[in-house]
Amino acid sequence: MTLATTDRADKEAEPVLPASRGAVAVRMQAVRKAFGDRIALDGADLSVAWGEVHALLGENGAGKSSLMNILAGFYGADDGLIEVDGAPAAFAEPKAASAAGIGMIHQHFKLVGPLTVLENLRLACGRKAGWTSNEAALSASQAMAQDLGFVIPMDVRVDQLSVSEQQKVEILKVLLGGARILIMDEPTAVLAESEAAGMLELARRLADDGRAVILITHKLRDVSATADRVTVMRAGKTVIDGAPARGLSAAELARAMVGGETAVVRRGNASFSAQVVLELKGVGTPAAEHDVPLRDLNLRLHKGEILGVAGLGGNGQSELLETIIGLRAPTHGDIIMHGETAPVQPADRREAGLRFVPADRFHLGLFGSLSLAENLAVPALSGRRPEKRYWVTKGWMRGRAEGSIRDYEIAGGVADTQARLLSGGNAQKLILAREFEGDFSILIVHSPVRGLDVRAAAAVQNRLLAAAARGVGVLMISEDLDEVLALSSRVAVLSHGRLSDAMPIEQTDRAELGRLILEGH
Amino acid sequence: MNGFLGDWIGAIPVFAAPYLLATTGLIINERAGVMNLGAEGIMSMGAVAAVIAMLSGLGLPAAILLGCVAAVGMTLLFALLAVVLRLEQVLSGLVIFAFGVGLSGVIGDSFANQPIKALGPVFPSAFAGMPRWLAHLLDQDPLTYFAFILPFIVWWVMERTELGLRLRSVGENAPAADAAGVNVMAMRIGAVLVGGIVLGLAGAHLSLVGSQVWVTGMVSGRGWIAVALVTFSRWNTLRAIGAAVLFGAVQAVIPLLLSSGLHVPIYLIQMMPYLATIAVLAASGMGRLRASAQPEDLARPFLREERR
Repeated sequence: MTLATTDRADKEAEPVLPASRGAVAVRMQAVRKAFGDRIALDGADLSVAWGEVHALLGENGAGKSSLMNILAGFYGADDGLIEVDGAPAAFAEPKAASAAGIGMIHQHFKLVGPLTVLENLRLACGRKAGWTSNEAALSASQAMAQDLGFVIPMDVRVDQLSVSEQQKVEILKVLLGGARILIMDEPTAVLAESEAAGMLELARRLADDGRAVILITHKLRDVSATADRVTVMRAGKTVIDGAPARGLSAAELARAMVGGETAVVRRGNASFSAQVVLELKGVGTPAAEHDVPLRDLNLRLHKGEILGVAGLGGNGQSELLETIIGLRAPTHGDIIMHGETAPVQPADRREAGLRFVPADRFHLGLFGSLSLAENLAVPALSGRRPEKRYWVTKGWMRGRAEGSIRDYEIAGGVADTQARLLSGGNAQKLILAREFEGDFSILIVHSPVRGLDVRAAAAVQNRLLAAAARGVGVLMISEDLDEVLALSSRVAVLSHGRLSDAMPIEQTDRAELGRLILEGH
Repeated sequence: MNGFLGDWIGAIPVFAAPYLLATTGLIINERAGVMNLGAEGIMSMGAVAAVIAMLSGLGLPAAILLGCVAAVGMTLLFALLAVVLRLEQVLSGLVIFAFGVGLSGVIGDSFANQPIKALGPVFPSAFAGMPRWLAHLLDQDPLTYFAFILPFIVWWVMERTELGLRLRSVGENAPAADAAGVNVMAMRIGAVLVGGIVLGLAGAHLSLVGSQVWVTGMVSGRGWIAVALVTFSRWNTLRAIGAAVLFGAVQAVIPLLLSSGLHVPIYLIQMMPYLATIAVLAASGMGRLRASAQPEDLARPFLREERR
């Protein structure tokens, strides 16, 4: 087996698979990588065989993605040995890695949004697959999609597809390009439960065909469900190197991941006040392109409760959050805060005690190019309180920030670090630190632990529980049913822009919730 | 259809061609994600180099070629700043604008205000049987013909070829293009240079066809108007034809109005292209609520290992 894959233009997109199943496909040894003065990899090892699903497990910032970005040619390693099929393979660019049969499905998809599905596929593998016409590209793509059981319209712009459809386009792209070594970076993080199971089955099937599949994850469940072997990373180092997945218990894996104590989340409190802090009465929003309109939505959030809103993504979750915080004006219905009609401006709602944590941390949450200190200072500066400051000094901002960084255990940055350099979990902690400042009575959170590792997720969830215990009404919009069931006092289901009646958690039945989520009400 | 209207219509192509060339060149840049605000300076260099070649007795083909070469020289500097060194593109463009306008003034100083032989029509007698306005409209020089053919070629390359797909992908999402095996930097430098050649042609058209003389500062804002026309034509070279004809018409009416003896202040008449620019941008702004056609990675430098 050589690295050259150039002379396959005449063949169908059928990848050349190795005969020697079980032989080593990828070997990485003592790989090091630093970004400026931040060390991402500090001697990481990985060895993957043909025909296996190999889980790469670790907390946020453990270096999993960095290691795989090196294998796929996106980053250059500072030091270390990298071999593919026994030959040295330090790829200078993604193209070279792709030519060697390595395909990476990134957590943040590398798709060109305004182009159609077919254009994206042509862009990535038109040359390699030797498509001479649009028709050839279309038939090859459709054949591959059919083979994998994907239903994807080829002539639709990629940015109009759902997240799970986009992921399928990424997989098509990689396979049509003839990938034999597949790297999937947290493929289940963005998917609903049922879709995630399908994705793991697909990973299994691709490995059974003889490919090597590397599954980056921090979900222990993914490992036990699918992986043959597992490598665990912590703080840039490999702590478990390719052990059989069956031989390890979830507790052992968790301990290896976080090193020492594992995180525990307390159960939510079922008793809460009868006082209503936020009420939505028959709220509806306009139908617009890309949006799911809210339809006659009724909701009562009590002081001290966590009200879980379950449902699959894309059923009006973002619209609900944006309507409550004042970014979207409802066409009809009332939003009532503390018994009074909510003010129109988002800033005034904030003044009235409303805080929020959006799902996309950098879209509505943080300012990526501002420092941690500046991010933390923004609400304090824009408020309409008497202590509003007109003069801001770096020292004042830094002083405030250092306290928050310590209290919220924000790692990977100091007060002057740009927020965009933080990993997902630390970015989320930064938002919490900012939003939890001062007095507030209503908290809206959307997918608060999406993409977070076990310990960071537990830290965030414990903050939510603590807020509720202090009397804050917490509205938790989440696509993770386990999370909703674990934390909520009551639960409602959002489906096609409609919200079901909230029911106390002890009266809910998982199967019934599942039915509501899938079929609506 | 003779008289005023006929004269007007017949004059439009010559006035529209520089706008069309410049807008097309800039669209090539911007579809690859590079915003080139140096157009005015690059066009100035094209215009002055073409005149210098003519006055040195090199002939018309050499003059056009030299116009392009001078423009590409300026563009190389821009590519170095904006693409290779990844400086702020707006700033790099302003530097090129100031430098190009200034340098053209310096090297053109001893060649200024000396009339040159014009670039003449391609088919001098082919339209003899037609009405005068129509003959006037169709009978053009090679650069003007080329200006009206190029948008179709560019559109076809953009929308129908692998090269165009790769170029657009770089402008829309450079990291994704990189992941797909496109050499982002090479693609952007290539687009900037090809755009530079076309901007050079726009400059050469101004001096060889339009004024037939070099006057310091003669580009007089047309490069900036072209930047605005890119937005107005929503990054589509076919729409650019309409936009350029509109501005050519505005520009073509100025000498006619001035010579018609109309009692309107001359400054008001000469202001028309700039007023039209404001009107056109306002119109684009009001249309903003529709899906914007602006490339998503426009003016965003690309570095592979940088987190975004």
